Amino acid sequence: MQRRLGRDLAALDGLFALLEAFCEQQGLGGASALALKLVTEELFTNLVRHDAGGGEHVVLRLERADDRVVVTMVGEDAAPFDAAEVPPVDPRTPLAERRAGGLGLHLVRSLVEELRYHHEDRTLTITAIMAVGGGHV
Amino acid sequence: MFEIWQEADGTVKVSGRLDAAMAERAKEVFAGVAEGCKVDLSALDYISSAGIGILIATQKRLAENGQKIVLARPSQHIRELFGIAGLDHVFEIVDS
Repeated sequence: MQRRLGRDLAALDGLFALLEAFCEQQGLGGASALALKLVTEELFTNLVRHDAGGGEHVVLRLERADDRVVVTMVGEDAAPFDAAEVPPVDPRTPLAERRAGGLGLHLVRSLVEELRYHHEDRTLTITAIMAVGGGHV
Repeated sequence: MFEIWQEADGTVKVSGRLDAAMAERAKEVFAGVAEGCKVDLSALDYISSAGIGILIATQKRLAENGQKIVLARPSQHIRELFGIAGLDHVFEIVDS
């Protein structure tokens, strides 16, 4: 399944509609569906928030390959970005020392098997590969 | 659909999908929380880092006055997500 979305938080309804349709088609529920939605939203909102000068659209593609889901997000006219350069967040940090930022990427890293960023000709392609269960949990 | 409101006894109820687009509404309600209270998550279907960040910021603000919010009745999957985010280190999470 694929959809072209506006690069704006207002597009999240469309993003979740696509995710719901994909989960229903693939029989994904429970923890798998929650993780897929979370990873996709976090990657999308990162694209929206951290590249103010980027293009107007993002193409989201969801594919199933056996017991894995591949999430591909393509940002047009995008600045380079690589999640590997973002320092990790320690979830055991005491409350008083917690700072805003980085939590979304921490969750994504925790939930995916593989996360790749590729930037070429001002196009940023993000690929996340996740293991999913069959059927509703 | 996302809804959030504070009941007369102080309990904050959150339901539906708390994504980044709904975070501002949640932020407004939690900004009005001045004392420790229970946050009933039993009808919450989904939350991402934007919503979790608001819970953490609220807990941090209340802790300055010795107060705290308690997270109540999250679903099993959301509770697991809270574990990944380390919320079990900074919140009391209860089943009732």
